[in-house]
Amino acid sequence: MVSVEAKRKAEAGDDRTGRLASSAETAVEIRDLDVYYGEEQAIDDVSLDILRKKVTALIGPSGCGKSTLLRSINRMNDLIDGASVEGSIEVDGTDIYAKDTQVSKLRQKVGQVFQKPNPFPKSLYDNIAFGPRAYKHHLRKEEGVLNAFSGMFSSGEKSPIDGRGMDDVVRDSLEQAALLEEVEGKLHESAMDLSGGQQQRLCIARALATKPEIILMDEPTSSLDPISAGKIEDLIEELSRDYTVLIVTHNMQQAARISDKTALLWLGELIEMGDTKELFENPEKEITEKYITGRVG
Amino acid sequence: MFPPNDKLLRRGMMGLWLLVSAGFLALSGLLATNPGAISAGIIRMLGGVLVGLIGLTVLTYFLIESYQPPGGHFLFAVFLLALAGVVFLLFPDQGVVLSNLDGNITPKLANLSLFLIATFASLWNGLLYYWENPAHNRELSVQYFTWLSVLIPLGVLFFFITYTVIEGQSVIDWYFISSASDILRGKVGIFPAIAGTFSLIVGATVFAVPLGVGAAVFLTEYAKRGWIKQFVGVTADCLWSTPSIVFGLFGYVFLVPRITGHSTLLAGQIVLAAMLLPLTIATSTEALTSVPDEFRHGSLALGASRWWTIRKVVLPSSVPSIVTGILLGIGRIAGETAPIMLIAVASGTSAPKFFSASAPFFHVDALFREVDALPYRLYAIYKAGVGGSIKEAWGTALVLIVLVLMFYALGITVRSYYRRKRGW
Repeated sequence: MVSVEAKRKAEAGDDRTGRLASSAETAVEIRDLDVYYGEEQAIDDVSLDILRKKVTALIGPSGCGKSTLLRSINRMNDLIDGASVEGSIEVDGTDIYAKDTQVSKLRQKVGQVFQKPNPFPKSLYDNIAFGPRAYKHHLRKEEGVLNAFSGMFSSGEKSPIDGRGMDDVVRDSLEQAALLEEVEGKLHESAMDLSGGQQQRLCIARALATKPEIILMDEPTSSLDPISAGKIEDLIEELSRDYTVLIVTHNMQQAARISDKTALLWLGELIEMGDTKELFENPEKEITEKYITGRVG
Repeated sequence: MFPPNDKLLRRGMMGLWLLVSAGFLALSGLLATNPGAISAGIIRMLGGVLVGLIGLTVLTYFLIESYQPPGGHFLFAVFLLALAGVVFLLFPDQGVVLSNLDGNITPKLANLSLFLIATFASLWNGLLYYWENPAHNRELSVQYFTWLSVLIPLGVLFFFITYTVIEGQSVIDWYFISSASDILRGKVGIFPAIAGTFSLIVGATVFAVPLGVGAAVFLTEYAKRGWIKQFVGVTADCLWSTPSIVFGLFGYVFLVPRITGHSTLLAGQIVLAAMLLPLTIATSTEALTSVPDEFRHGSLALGASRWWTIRKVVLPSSVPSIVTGILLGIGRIAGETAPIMLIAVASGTSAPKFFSASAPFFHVDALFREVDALPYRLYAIYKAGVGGSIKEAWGTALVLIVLVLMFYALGITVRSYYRRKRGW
């Protein structure tokens, strides 16, 4: 029996279990997720919803499964030997662990930014065009030769994702990642010459070029100096207007500053999830309070 | 007390030792040959060397004492070693035996002893420098010893090349490298051998590189189980250390009868490819493994497939190392004589003709003919006097070195191009 009050709270996403009643606002829906690395269980029965066009922060001590949970959403866990997943994750209502899922398409839709900036040893331009070009390559295989050649007789390279010119895609992505001004005129120079913070923003731009809906960020500022980290934080706030952002962070101030929702994981279990402000000011569970005040962790 | 604590004493010991050595040297020089056989030339030579040695010793000491450069002793050591090398190389013996039945020492021993004295003196000097310095300064002396380890191979290489150039350049002219030998006019040309070696190298590379890189891609990117990698790794190492003549034998027994029944270029290419393959696999695997996983993950996370990731990220960033590995292999197979001797070459054959001005333009049958090859030609001239004199042998050696260096130059160009492009 569910009281009206409880239902209202649930709809507002305020029941601290991470689940929502309505799904229109949900970008990712995780249900009863278990992830194992061989014998070891890294995620234990986690269910949570990630809201569209909001920043959701995953916090918790090292080894609590934050990164594992993040990587489950774009199936990067598949790359780890012995990793296995039970339960379900739905992105836009589609089960991503279903047999007929095209992982390439999933990852085009769910971008990822890594802990250490990892631009390819190519030019800035090629870095950003990488995603669309890869997409085109797969398109050729999946959707026939005609599509792949459709842009052949028009001038310039086109992004196969939205049909715009590649130059525009590159510039827009850089603009969105707040990097364009700094690298103007250097688009064809090696990305390895950028500073760490610029490289990280380039990686964000690279992820944006595939027109993702969701961006996963795995401690994106932990290898950066405070000023670069600040720029990335500003950028994340900007991005949340158009994108769903899920960020793993060790830095609780960061989580408090930039996220709308925060989830605390502990030893693979979801302890508490709720509005960031609520969670930090008025934690429901004792362990949450202890963790955010630094008494455990 | 050893080493002696007093600086002067050590220097004195050093000087005394050099003096004794010089005395021994002079003695050995005098005793070197039977009294009747002592030629004025040998005595003059030894005298000159001695005077030079003593003079330069004094000069170096003077420099060191007045200057006190860091590692002064070491400079002296290097100088002595260089001198030893020069003596050893420039004053060859007239006879081959070291001592004859009469117990007489041939001049070779004199030269050899000078070489040994100088070597020991140089090492002694390095050690002196080590001893004379407190522990925190010894770093420098260790550095110098490592420099020495660089200098010696460099010196050997330099000597090899200059000597070959000096000996070989006199026979090299346009005719020598562009034509075949003309017996009637008594002119020697090694073009068939150049073309043959070139075809062998190119063919072997074409066969081996795709296979080797493919194997490496499988091992690093697709093979899940560790034991497969280990097994292939060990197998490749075994293959690499198999003596080349064994490859030749296998080619002779298994390939030759199945191709034409006689020596063919194709058989040579295949056997050389088999020799090149293990190194290609090993170095390519190494190269691919050293590409950071972050690149792979970055690419896969953008929705790229594994193959696209390999093609666009992994392979381009490992090209420099792969090319280096292939170069090492080419350097080896270019000079191989043993395997191709049985299965591919015959001296005096004409250059393989792949191309012509008339149809069908490309002649596959060149693959099924014998070829000449530079190392084989060298062997034939050197051992059997076939196709030229010893001068032509040096000329052939020079051409072979230049050919290999040309492949190196090509490889280095490719490598630096990709390295610049890669930017890490």
